[in-house]
Amino acid sequence: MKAPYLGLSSSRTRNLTVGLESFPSDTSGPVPGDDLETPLYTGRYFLIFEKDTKDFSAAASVLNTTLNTKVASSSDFQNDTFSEEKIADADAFIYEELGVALVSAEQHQVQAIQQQVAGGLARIEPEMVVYAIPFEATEALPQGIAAFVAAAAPSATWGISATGSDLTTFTGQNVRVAILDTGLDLTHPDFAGRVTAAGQSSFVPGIASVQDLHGHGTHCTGIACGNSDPTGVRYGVAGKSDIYIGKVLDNTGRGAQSWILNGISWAAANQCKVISMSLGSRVFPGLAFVTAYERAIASAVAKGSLVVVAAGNDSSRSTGVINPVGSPGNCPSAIAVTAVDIGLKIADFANGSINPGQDVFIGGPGVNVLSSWPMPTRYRSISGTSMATPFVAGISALICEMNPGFTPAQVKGELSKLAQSLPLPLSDIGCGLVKAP
Amino acid sequence: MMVDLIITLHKDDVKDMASLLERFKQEGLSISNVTDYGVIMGRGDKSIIEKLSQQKEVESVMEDYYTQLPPPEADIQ
Repeated sequence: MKAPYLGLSSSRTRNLTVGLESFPSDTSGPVPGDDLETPLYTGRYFLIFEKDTKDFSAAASVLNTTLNTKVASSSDFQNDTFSEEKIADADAFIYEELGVALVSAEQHQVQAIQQQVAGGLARIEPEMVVYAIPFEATEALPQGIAAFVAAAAPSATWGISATGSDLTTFTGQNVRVAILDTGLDLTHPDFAGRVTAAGQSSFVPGIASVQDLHGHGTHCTGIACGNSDPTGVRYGVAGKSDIYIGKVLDNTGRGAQSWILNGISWAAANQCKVISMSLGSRVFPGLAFVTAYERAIASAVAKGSLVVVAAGNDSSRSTGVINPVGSPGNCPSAIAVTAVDIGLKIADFANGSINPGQDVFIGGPGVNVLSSWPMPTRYRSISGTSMATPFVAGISALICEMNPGFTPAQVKGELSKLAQSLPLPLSDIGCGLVKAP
Repeated sequence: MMVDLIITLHKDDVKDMASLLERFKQEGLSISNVTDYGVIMGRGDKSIIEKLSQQKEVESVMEDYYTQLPPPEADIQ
């Protein structure tokens, strides 16, 4: 065990983030984007147990057998001072009070552990090294294991908290939300019984099922329509909405314009009040929107569907590059969504209002967002305006539940009215951060 | 060279869809889908793009193109 303290394993970073919180660390390393070889994962895995797990002896036994090495536990240090040296020869360390084990293992060993630890294991996540965009709040975060305790036991992801989605009584019940993307992992336990046969359709030639073998669609569906993970952490907005899955991107994440147009038509014909599209193509300054997309989106709006689209990730603001809203997010009838980080600063990659009339309308949480991922991974944190978009879609569903007779224009107006103003340029954030009613 | 095409009609001409489809077929367009909002999807030789573009009922003709997400392992998606 090279480093027992969670999240403090790399010397190459200046702000390490594990899960949802940042830990000040070594400041000598490169900043994000400096080094293309910057690692995303430490090579270790978190085993996260069900909330009420008290007995870890069976899990310790499986770890011991599978890894053929010593397994240390926080209970070993009840009357002793914890130190790295004391567990240096252990490949697994169980934080019993947190219900979490940190394991150094190969992927095939992790799969074996998952199969053998029968009950009590909620999920397995690779330990991520995420290079947080520096923000002032980082300086005030507590250090060490106390910070991990706080980070490991939140009741909601930062995005859910920031948008107030955990405070509303609305759930999106009886509101149809279409996610047009790479599909959904239909075996994911969090969506059991949520998608009907009529609520799924593939527009990818040669692929009949909406089963998601990429992951992007499952992540976006989780944010818009998911609920909580087995430990009780809320990660989805409209947890009782009716999910409509349109597979318009194949399992490599590629999709033709015609597939997307067909998906929009299908969702609108199925009376989805909200259509979420975390997809798009790069648009260069001076280019117009695509007429066919605008016609399809305007038609969907006329039929009662609000169409929410990612603004795109083609910018590098830290180097002074801001690119226009992508296509089809740049269509006048679409709601273009940008991304903010946990400090409510605009995401470095987020596009902005550059081309006249092709503006960002609103922002959502889009950096380090935890949501569902195809099994067996089950959950994963990623970033992008793709992640911000389903927050707006989910909250739009809450507004529709609250006001069943609202037209898309009225939902849009309500989004604007509820949005939290941020001290950012209008061209970056539009009306502000999306907030739940 | 055969290409996939997206043809958008002017709004005022959507009502004449049936006759326009017949005309486009005669130009060599193989039609795969027609929407009620005036967008037609089909396949034909690249040379028909210019012919279709010149028809007064047609607002735009473009080759179908692909959008691509980053790979699943990417941190920014």
